[in-house]
Amino acid sequence: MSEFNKTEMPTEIDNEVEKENFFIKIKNFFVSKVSNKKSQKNQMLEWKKDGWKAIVSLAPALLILLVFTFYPIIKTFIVSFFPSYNYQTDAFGQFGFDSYATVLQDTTFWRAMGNTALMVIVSVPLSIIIALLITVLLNSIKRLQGVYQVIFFLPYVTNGIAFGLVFATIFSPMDYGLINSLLNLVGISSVHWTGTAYTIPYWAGIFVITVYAIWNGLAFKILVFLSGLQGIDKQYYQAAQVDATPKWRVFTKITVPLLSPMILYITITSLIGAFKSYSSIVALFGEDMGNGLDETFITAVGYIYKYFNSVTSGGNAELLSVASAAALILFVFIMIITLFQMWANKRKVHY
Amino acid sequence: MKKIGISVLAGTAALALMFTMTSCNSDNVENAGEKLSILSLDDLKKNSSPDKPIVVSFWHSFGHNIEEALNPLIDSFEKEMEKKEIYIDIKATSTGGGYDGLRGQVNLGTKSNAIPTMLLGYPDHFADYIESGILLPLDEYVNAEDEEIGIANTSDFVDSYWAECKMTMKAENDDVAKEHIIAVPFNKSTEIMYYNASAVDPILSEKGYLDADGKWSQPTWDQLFEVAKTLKEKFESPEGITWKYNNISQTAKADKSKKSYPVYIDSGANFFITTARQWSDGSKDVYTRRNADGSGTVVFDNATVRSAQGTFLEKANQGLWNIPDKVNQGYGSALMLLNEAFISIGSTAGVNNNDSQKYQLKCTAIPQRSYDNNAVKAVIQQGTNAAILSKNSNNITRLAAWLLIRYLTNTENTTNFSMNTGYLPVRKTARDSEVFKTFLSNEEDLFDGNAAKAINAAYSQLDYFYTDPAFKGSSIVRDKVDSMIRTIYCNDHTIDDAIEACYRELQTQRIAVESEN
Repeated sequence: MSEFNKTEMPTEIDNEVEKENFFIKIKNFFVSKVSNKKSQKNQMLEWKKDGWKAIVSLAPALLILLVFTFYPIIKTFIVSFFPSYNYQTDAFGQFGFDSYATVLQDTTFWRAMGNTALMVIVSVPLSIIIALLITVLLNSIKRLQGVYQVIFFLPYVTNGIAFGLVFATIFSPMDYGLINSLLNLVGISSVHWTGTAYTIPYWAGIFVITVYAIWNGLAFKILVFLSGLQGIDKQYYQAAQVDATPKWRVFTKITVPLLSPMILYITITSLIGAFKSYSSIVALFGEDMGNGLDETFITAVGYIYKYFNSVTSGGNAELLSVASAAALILFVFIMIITLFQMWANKRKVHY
Repeated sequence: MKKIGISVLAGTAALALMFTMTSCNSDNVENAGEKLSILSLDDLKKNSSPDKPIVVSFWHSFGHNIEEALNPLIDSFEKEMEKKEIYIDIKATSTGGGYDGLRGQVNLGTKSNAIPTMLLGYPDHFADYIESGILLPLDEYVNAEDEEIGIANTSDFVDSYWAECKMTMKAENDDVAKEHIIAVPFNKSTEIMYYNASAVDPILSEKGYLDADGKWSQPTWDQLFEVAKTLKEKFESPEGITWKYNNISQTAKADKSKKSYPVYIDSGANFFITTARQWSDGSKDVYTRRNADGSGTVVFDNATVRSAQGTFLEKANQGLWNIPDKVNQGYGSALMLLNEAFISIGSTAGVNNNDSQKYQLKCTAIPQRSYDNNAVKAVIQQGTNAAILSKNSNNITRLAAWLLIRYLTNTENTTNFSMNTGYLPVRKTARDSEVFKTFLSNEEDLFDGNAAKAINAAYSQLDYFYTDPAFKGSSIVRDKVDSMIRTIYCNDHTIDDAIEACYRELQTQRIAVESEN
């Protein structure tokens, strides 16, 4: 920008003619930047001269990321290789892989991973498909579109406690719960969906978690898809209309391909979000994460928290290394799946 | 230029780390962590002024009601000190998440010095603080010759409370770990039995369980289950249970769409530990054992525990009692207020939660298995003690904190605090004072009556108080036992399966376990 600033950017705009010239200069500047190869060289020159400005501008964000994201990640990575690490004294002890061995040999960890995988496999595709269909419907209606949008976005801005209360009423394990009342009406006995009072059947718990995950994530997905949908050039749809293309074909051949970058983004973020499920499980099934010591619905992050909470609650301080190792294993899992997903989608995503 | 870019990035990283360290190090106490030396009140006078008072941070976990009783005492302490030209600013903070939350915050804040000068806590919390080397032994303050600092008559503290405040630790000048005074008893409570006397007294009378004063003074579990059986039958009958209170007729009738029990026991862990003791012959530990080296071992996989739990599970299956979790509630008191239960066992500190305009509330001791001379009688002693942390304090702030502890626990203040809260006074002279005796005799008083009822019930079982040995991880054991009780009573596991699962879980937490056979 310095070249532009010094040679072309007018410092003052005195009259209308100068204003017009100013905008022409700006337009020419940007056109030349994009089209001219020579300008790429100029950009390099700009980096050489003004790169520090960019660095300074980025510094606050970098600072926050370094302190609150990168430092904990690096520390977690290091701690996981020191099984005797004591977080109270910060003593590292001997290097070793014992914490990884503890985690990988623990059947509870694999149960947690299995539960997490199931939640990911069921809730992520379902929530994306439902969000996509609702988005297309929302975009296609003309009357009351705003009202429907508000209804679907409400969970996104609703207080978590209110959200939880509504959910608790719907899936109350008691006979007076909404779903149980409906089941009783048709002669089916009540199901213990949530809470700590009874043993919750595995299928019922997974069903509730899935519904919760879909409902909870729907608003954001619709928001992203809607913005993507409204950015698609209308010409494609008009051309399809001229050709009398069936709606389903329009959806699969125009809408989905042109939304594919958004779908990829949503898929990756939803997947990571589903892998991180924890608070919803505690809210639905209590701190035991389902059925007392059975921990029936424990998730991978629940497993990590179990050890972390134990350390802060007066348990063995060395268990922090186990929690770190589990976190690193989960990180590797998520990274592998995300990379695979990006590789698999490379040819199907249209930018 | 790239080098400059990299330098700037590296600089930012260094800055970030610096900020991290700075933000973590909230230590603004001069000479924090210095070697303990007992100063005099003159030293405090020299080191404080109205503009620059000595700041003492004090963490507790009281709710609003208890804070209302504590804060005036703190204010009056500050004023007392001002009269001596000592200016102390007590910054009392109620941390979130109960006392376990407070402990968690201290544990997380230890490394970065984000910890208070003084706090309240349980012995197992203090075991953590000893482990991390931040607990200040108080022997030198207690035994100080300066009569404005020392406590001349420690024998005035209730013996079992004072005993709880001694733990083994290696202090600065110790060659080996030895017993030290690490805290002073502050707010004490225990478990009692609350009951809807309007509904229950006629049954007690019918069964002959009331004494000459019309009190259910020495309840046993057998009596409780007999009463519960009658309550259940009446509650589930078409007429329900009826009574008149304040000239208003009340009817409690079972809602067949809801599961209900006449009796609830709030704390699963307390219930487990107390009944294990009551069922034992007292010759050996039946729950946990503190070893000679200060570590602990879990030993509850034994026949005594199985026998106790077997009895209670049978009664629960008959619908006579349960834990509130069984009906998705936190406390039995909530169910009593709804006329869905009639008896609940809970902490004395929760007395006001049991009061109702619908029935007459009465309190009594928790049931024992037997009152025979040879029988082990047990009820848990609860409540926190006040301690000082050494890491984020110096000898000035420590002495100021100590003076506050000394002030709060003197006879007059422990009496007042008790009468305002329902906690038990920690000094014998307070318990025996005329003002306190008058307070206790006034159970029907509109405002103080409930606290008096709870404290009278607590005192009726004073001889049976017990505390469990605290060791590193003992609070985790309690948490897991709580889960185990839910596993038995809510998730229908057998007692053997639940104990096995609990042992497995404790082993993953690296806690030593031992089975009887």
